[in-house]
Amino acid sequence: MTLPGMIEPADFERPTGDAAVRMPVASSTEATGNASDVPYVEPLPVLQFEQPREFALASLRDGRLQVMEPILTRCLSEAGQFVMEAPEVNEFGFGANPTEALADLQAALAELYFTLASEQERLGPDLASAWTTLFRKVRTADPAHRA
Amino acid sequence: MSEYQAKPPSSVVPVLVAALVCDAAAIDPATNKRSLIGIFQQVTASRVPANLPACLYFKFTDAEGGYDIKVRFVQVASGKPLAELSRNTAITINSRLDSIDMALPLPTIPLPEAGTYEFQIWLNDMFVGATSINAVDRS
Repeated sequence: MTLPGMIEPADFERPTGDAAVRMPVASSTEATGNASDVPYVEPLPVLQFEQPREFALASLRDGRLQVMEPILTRCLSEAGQFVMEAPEVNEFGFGANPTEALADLQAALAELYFTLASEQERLGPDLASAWTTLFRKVRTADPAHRA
Repeated sequence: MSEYQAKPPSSVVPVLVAALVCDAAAIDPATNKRSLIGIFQQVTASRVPANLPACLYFKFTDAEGGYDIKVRFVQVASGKPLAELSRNTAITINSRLDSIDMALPLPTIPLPEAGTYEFQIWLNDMFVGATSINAVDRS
């Protein structure tokens, strides 16, 4: 059966060491006449846009937590290091690229949520403000961590 | 004027429940069921740069109202977006209990070099999640 966009079985390569897994082979600049061999084309200038420096984060990559209101996130770069900042709760994530920095921020926000949830009675003004914001924006399925 | 244009974009935050890269997605016209063919997360190129035809499938729930869907293909190491796909028409979801899934055929994904790439899924400019593929240079 051939479907539009489907890679023909001939294009599959069996990886070494794992016969059960098959991987598709990307086409190269050298077209061989195969259906999937599309000559490489540089992305058009119109597509070379920038990633947004400020955006709304709607996921914390943590199955225990659901984002109810988007969390404002800023991407900064300093000396080859990327920093993702959630200014509303004054939390940061760091990484060698934006994806790593965002994953670090998501983990930091999840950890902050559970830490603040368990320490609600003993928070200073800054952390109490962060908890108010985080509690409004994030919901947990675990009743033990609800206010 | 479409239904979406009549309503402001929804601020309800959806939950991404699945995002997969595959060779192709087939829809059975009789049942409207989707079949994903050749799900993968690593691709071996005979040399880079290369182009890869693929299909992105994703499914989300807990959404209500109008959504503008955008997919960005980003090179992870540099953070550089290489392509962006937007649906020509936005969608309207009536109930948060509904699940919405989509299969976007991508005729040419640019792979300028070996490394990790990710498909970022944005709904109303909210980042809801991503799925990645790893490109290996065989040469």
